[in-house]
Amino acid sequence: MILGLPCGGRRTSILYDEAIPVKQAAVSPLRRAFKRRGGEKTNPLAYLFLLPAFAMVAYFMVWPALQTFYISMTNWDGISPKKFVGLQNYLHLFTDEPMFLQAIKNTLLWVVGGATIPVWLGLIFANFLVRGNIRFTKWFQMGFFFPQIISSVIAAVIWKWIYDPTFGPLSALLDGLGIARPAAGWLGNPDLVMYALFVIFVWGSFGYTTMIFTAALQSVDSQLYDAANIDGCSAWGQFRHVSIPGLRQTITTVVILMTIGSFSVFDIVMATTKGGPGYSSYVISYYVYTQGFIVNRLGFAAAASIVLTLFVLVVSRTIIWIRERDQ
Amino acid sequence: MSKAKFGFLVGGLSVMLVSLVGCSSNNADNAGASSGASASASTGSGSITLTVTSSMTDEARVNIMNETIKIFNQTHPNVKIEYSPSPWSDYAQNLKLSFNSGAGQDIVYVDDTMQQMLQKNNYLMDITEDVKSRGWIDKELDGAIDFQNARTPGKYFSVPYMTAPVVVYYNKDIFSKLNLTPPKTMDEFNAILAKAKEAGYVPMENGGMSNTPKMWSVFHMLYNQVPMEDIRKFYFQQGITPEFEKAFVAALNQVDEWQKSGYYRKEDASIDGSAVPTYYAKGQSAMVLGGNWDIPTYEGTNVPTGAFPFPQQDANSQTHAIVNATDGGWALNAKLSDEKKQAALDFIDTFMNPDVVKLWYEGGSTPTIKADMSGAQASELKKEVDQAIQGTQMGFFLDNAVPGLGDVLNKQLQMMSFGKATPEQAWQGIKQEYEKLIAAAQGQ
Repeated sequence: MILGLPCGGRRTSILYDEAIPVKQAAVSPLRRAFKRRGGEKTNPLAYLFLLPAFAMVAYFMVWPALQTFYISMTNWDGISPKKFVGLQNYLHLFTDEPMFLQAIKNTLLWVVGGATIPVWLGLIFANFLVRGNIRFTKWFQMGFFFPQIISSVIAAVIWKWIYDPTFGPLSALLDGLGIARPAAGWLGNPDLVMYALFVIFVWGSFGYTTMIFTAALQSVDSQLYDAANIDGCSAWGQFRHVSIPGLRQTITTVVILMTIGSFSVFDIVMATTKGGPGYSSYVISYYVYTQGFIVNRLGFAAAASIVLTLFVLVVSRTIIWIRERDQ
Repeated sequence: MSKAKFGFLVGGLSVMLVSLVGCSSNNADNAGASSGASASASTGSGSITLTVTSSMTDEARVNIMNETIKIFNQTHPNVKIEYSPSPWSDYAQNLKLSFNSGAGQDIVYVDDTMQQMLQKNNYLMDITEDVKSRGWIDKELDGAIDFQNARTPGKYFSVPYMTAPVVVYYNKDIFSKLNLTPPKTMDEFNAILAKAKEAGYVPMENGGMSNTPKMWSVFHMLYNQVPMEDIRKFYFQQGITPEFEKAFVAALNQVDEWQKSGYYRKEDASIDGSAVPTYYAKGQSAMVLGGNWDIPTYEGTNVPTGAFPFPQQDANSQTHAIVNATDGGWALNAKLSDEKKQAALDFIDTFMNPDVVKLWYEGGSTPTIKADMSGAQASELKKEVDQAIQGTQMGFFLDNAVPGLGDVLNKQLQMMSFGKATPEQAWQGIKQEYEKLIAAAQGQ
């Protein structure tokens, strides 16, 4: 197996260069860390070039994040003076807010689905496009990617019309085919609403995953497929034993991106059900919006958003850890 | 690295940092300059600029506002009005941001919750003496200014000029076919619902994704059954009386009964409030609750439509309050200079001008200003709405009692419609959230 071994069996780590002369063993660890092979010097100037970007990130991302954390420890309503309340908001979130717990449950369901279904669909469609010997693959790619260029809010509004129980084309189609449909519609049914919204999400995201996997699949060595073919491997076997291992890194990256995207889903819910019916489509980000901008509990909303951020960090880090452990 | 290169790099970074800092201070200067400019304009050249904002972004009302400004400028040519409305959905946030950042507009149109929000943070000017000295109390319908400022009894921070009544729009064709007349009591109303259902029509439109008509039905039933004092206690966050609680549960039970009797569309839960006129336009719906702002919409459906007030409990009812609150009021920024304040008060006074009142009336509004509208041109539906609210008393939009309550009411009504909550459970959910929201609103 070629994949997975460092090139030629030799380490290429910059930290443990065996060619460094003994006299440099006395060099400080910090200076050694900046040393490169082949006599290259690391120029501190590089860090100065990075400084503007770092300053922008610090000003527009780190500073607002710190401010959010501070606001999460107040009872600020967005206009009155802030009053420090410590971790009270966090305590209330988990002890006194059944809606938040419902939002967590709905969001986790969304994440599980969002991190798997669009990824698998993307893999399968990419495999057909690259390995399927079909014509007009560019047109198919364009078609699959089309939902990506539509704003998610507009997509949600379009689907809201599609789902309309009286005027929507979906109802007309099912009625024409004689297939029973829910009397109360899809978006108004608490048992179906999450699935209906999830369809919108998958529709909008599987094109993205397809494009990424299409590009990645084209970089998998075709000789591996030839070798598998010679060994009598079926199409499914090639997909399972050549494509998927070859795309392992890409799959992890896409899973992480889809996980983060699933955690932060908001526009679809906002443009369609607004968390209803009841609280059956409440998700964490919509809960944050409601608390912050409708109930005017910005401190509370900030606490919920910090919790959401922690969820995303923990889950993403776990996925990366699993990948690194497997490697 | 050579000293020259190092110097060039540090110089470049310094320029970048200074430009970033310079931009922010430049913005601060501009913000200061804009208020400073208006201050200097007021004292220097004699001309004044007033910034005005509201949530009336629809084309019709923007046009009427522009006409109002023209009439104001006929007597105040030296005052420039910069009117910039923002959509209702963003309005409260925009007000918060602008006042918080010191860039609050000179004249703002505020409803009850926004007035609370700004007034308790001292962003609004107390204009009690000006209201009295300019005789506005007499120019307005009895109690209108007090209603608008009910949370600060004896003190006035804003002045209304129109109300927002909710009435029941009905399909005249269906009523005619079924030999029905607009009901006066709840029994008559229920009889109409049953008859419409039996005849195969949709008795009432609702829009289950927002449930606003159902909510208004509940409020109307509360007004029928509970003393106004108990309603005021709920609305002014002073608690829930046992009678109020009992009446609320009874109202929810009535709505639940209507739901179970099939008086709403079977797919109502999936219909958005904004789509209700489209369903009404199919001509199969007998009635729908709506505001006077819906008059153009229902006129546009080409369904012959009339209006009546939500019925009283019974024929013996002494009072007949309906959901009909002041739509909002003009308030002044607390930091206005004396000169700008007088110009702003003169601008508000313009809305009491009979010609201006007529403009707004013909545009569909229901004015709070006393004026003879007999010569005004109004559609038949507009006249019916005005006729419907004659003799009724003003009542609050109870979902405005505390921010976020409307969403809670909607969600509980949705759970009730699916049998996920009984009316009693729905009330418990509403009560719990009401108390939490009050605590949040009061900073506890």
